Amino acid sequence: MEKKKLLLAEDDQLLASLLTFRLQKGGYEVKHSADGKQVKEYLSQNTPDIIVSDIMMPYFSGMELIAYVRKELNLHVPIIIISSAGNEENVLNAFELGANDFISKPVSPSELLVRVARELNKN
Amino acid sequence: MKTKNLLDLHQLSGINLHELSTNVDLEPILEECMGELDLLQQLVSLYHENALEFIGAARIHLLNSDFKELGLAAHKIKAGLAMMRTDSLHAIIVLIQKECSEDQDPKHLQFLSDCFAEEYPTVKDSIDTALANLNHG
Repeated sequence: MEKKKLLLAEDDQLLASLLTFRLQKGGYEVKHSADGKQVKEYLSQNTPDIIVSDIMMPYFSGMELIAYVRKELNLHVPIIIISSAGNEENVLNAFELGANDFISKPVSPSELLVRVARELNKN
Repeated sequence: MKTKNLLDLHQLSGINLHELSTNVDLEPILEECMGELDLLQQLVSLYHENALEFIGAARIHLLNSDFKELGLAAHKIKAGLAMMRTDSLHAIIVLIQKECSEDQDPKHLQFLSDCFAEEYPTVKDSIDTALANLNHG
């Protein structure tokens, strides 16, 4: 069975390393991008099955990423946002822009795996 | 927590940090790493790099009175500190981020940054000891 492609947009290398490892172990093909430039470059040539993105990133925030994916690329892939605790306003804005789910930091890899699977099963 | 400015930190922050321990338990992270010690070692290295990078960046941002960048630097490191369950450093970073977005008092921020820089070596020793114990366990 072909692995689902997951784009992980996260500038925190520490968190990204752990999440990439766990997601790969969970059977996903993970592309990690550490900033918005890399995200745009990847999306110009690839369509992932799901996107997991931090809200605060260099060059291109998670909000801009959602708007770019939904409005410019017109893609309907599920997007899960990683948000800091106490950032409820950003989460609401993310939902308005078209995010499908969010997970708060510190991120539990096991919880993220469940949320990713749930979003993919919806489609 | 063993910061020599602990009493001042308590008074200035209004938060009781006495109970925060510098002892680090890496077992939960090792579980998240599915028992892969190599990955844990890699995460610990990244943790140390991030902490040192923050200490350097904080000095520069304070010299330039660039509180926005200092707040962003604090935000960037916060998740890693929480992930590794290093509560004392995490508590200081939360205070730095809050101060950067609210009062922006340079003296308080300098004080908090000094607390972080003083506390980090103790936490580093605890992490390195915990990692060594896991390696030999």
